[in-house]
Amino acid sequence: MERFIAPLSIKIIYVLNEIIFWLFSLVLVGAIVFSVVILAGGLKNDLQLHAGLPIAFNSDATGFIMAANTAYDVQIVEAYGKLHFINTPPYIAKRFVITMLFACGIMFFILFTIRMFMRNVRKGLIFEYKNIRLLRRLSYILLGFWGFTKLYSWMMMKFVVSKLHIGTVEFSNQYQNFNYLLIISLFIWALSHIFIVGQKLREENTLTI
Amino acid sequence: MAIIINLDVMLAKRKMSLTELSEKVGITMANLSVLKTGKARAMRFSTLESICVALDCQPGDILEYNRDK
Repeated sequence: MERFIAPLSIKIIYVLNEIIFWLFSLVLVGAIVFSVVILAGGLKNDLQLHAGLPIAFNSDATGFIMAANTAYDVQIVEAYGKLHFINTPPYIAKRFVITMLFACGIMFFILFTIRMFMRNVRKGLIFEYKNIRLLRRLSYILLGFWGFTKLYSWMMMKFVVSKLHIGTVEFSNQYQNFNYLLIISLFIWALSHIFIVGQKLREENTLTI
Repeated sequence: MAIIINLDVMLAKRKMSLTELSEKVGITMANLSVLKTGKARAMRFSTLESICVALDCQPGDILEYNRDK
């Protein structure tokens, strides 16, 4: 059998994925240690929590922008940001830490699945049943992650934003859009079906003497 | 499959080993083994021709159709 030489693009994606995977592994270890400290009540009220706020807000404050030596009045609208809890109480910190661990776990699983897939592709094992399973798994995880972002947005709206009072900021009912995760998930799902056809053709070719 | 490959029968008739046939037709032992054990899905005309030349036989001597299988 001919030795498979991976094209440059595959090699670049493989190396990048390896770097991201191992860096994220370090982040995950850090997150786990941090979570243990928080859940054990280690930081008490000292934690300066920054929680992602996927709800759009409009600011009352106006400013100006300089263009062509003229100042134009502007205002920030439909923006997304982070909520800074100054001296976070432990019961809030614990809830966010559990959410963070869950999100990190999903991210790690996604990167791990991509890593397994890229390793196979680099070895020349492309239209294989194990790759089809990996693609399907990746598509389901991304779908789950999309669901998680929807749930997180809804929970932030119901339990945080509805109780939030910040003078110059007005919140809208608009959630941050993570629908690209759904599109990627569907694309990978379709790709897995293309791989099924590819696997059948490869098998036919291998068994044609 | 209803198509049976009688390669082992022809090899025995010609008193030829699989290794010898492999060398003569230029097909790997692994591929000939796939053919002999009936795992092959298809056979190229060029392969059939090479085997017929090497074993001095007709395609019908190698391939057989069995309705019951």
